[in-house]
Amino acid sequence: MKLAGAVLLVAVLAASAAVAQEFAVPAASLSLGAGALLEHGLPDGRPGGVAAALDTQWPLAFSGRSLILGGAWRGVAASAGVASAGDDAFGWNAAALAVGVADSDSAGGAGAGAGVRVVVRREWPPLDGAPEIGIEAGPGGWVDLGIARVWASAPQAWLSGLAPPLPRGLVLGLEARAAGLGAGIEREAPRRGIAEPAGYSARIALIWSAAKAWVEARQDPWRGGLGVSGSIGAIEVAAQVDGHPVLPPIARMSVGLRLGAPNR
Amino acid sequence: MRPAARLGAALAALALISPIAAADSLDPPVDAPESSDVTLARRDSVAAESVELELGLMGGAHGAARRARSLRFSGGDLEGSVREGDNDPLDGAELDGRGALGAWRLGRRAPQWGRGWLVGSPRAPWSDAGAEAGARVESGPRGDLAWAEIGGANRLEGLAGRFAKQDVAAVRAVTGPGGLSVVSTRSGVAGEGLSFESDSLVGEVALDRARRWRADLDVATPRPFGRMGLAARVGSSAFRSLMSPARSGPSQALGATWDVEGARLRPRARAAAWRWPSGETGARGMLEVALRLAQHASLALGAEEQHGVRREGSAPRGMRQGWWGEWRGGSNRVRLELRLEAWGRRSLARDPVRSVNRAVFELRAPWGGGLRVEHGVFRSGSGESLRLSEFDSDRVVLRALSGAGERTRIEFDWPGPAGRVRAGWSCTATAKSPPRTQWTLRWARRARLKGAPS
Repeated sequence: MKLAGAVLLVAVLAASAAVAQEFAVPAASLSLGAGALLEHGLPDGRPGGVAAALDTQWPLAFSGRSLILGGAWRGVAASAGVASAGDDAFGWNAAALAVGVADSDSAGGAGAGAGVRVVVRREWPPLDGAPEIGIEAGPGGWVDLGIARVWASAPQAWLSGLAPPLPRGLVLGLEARAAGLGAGIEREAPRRGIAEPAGYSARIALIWSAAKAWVEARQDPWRGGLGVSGSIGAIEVAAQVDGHPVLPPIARMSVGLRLGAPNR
Repeated sequence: MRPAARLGAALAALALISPIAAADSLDPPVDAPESSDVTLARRDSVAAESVELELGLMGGAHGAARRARSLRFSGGDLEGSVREGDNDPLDGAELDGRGALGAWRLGRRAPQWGRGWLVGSPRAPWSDAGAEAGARVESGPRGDLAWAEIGGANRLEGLAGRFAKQDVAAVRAVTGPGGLSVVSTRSGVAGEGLSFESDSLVGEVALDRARRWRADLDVATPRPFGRMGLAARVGSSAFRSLMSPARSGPSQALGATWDVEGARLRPRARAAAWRWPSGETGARGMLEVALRLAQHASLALGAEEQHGVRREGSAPRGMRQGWWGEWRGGSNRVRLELRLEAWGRRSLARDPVRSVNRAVFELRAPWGGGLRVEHGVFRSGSGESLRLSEFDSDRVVLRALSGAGERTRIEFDWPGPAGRVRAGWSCTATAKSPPRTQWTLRWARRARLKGAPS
């Protein structure tokens, strides 16, 4: 029964594939946010620090909790996180570490950044013959073009041991922003071990000072998501719900504290 | 500088100006095995009046490490290199000298006379000369060679060596752009020919002992709408290159090139059609537009259609149409390069047969070293040729990939006071086979010759 549940959950995760994994903090930007370095290897080099707690509700009453700490100083960014998903019957723990460098100035002008992330997972219950621990590592990088940002991430460029619950491919993204408006498109290459075409997603965000709202559409099958975020002083809250034509929705909610440069 | 060298330099300059996708335009030689990696030598001269020693180790996940060593020097009128490594296709020694009367060389690399039908190696009609020149690729035949020349514009060249399993001796009398060549083997005179090499025209007419002939011409003009080139090849179907018969390729071919050196916009086009001695035909047409963007970024978009075969006797595979886009940008410290490429059996790359998605992340240290991570996702159908170019200082490896998988390559460069350390690691993972890892570790030290001007 445990095995059947695990298989079902993995199938659901693979089918939904709406978001990344444990450290995908909801954010108006595809490439920025508290979890961008841990999740995509995309560093924010502006001086400051961030702490965030994330709760994710997957289908089948499966949930995950994550804690993220990060910061940057003199263009060098680092972030660490821990996460736990599942219950006594099935689940996994994860620990992640990421470092990167970025050239962006404090005004968020043209610049570039690159980083690398490493995630270690331990799953239970152990399956016969399968490794208990898995490691994934990969780079990410972005280049700011003024009104737009180009970015790429290969979060699972290197895998060892236990397979990750959700395969992730090479992602290329482009985001443009103007006063009060942001839009982005993302392309994910066929993922390792899956016979599939490249997948596309697009997002439009509205920004009113410290409050942001966004809608997201993903392909194959067509589905969408809706997110909001806001901040009061150093405190930031964000939430996103991702729908699916067949599966129950996935909901994520985060609460965070940001010191130094404000979120973009 | 010789006219042919000047033509090569012009092509190299063009390729350097629009280098965006040129690295992926490198084709393997005609005789390269279909599913094996191909190593091409690069011109890699050491700085004047200096000596460079490099020691290396390389290996994979299994098996013993292999050694590689090289020594290069350049001093006055003499320069040379010795490269030695286990299973290294480029190992061997080269010694070049220059004196008042002329120049000489002992080594493994054959010169190119004319279009390479008697001495050298003919170029495949579909190959991109600009991309090869930009990458400083030397695709000529390798053997054992002693070569010398006497004179300047009017000169006499001679060589002796062993190429394609036969002993070869050749002489060429050159006056201005024209040359008369005679090549002999142990069986007697094997061929003779006329060549013409100027800045805008390189041509050759060659005749073998069986009275079979080959005429090959490449003409280029910088005006009126950018640099335009035309190439044509005709002759007896049974004629083979004397030094590299396996690379003779099609017996008839027509080709055209077009390059524009705009300040921001740089289009380039290639078209070629060819016929093999067996009657099989092939053709390609390519258009690429490179755009220079602000902040040292660049964007290239291209499309190509291919027909027919590039290997005599291979199964016809019908039409292929592909497109690609490549973007580069970043800052002084961080660079990013993204490339998408897709090929299909139908127009607009529908009914896909192969694809490459690639991202390169590059960190440059202020003191000159850096870290480069390249990750690519590839899909290649059965019978499709997919190769990724991997550059090193002295070589380009065209990595053959098949099936569906991912390839990650990490390069690290550290210029320390005791020498330059370079390390590389790569892993290819496909759905059908276990991950294949390869690694290299190299240390190089360069020193000025005693008494050399600083």
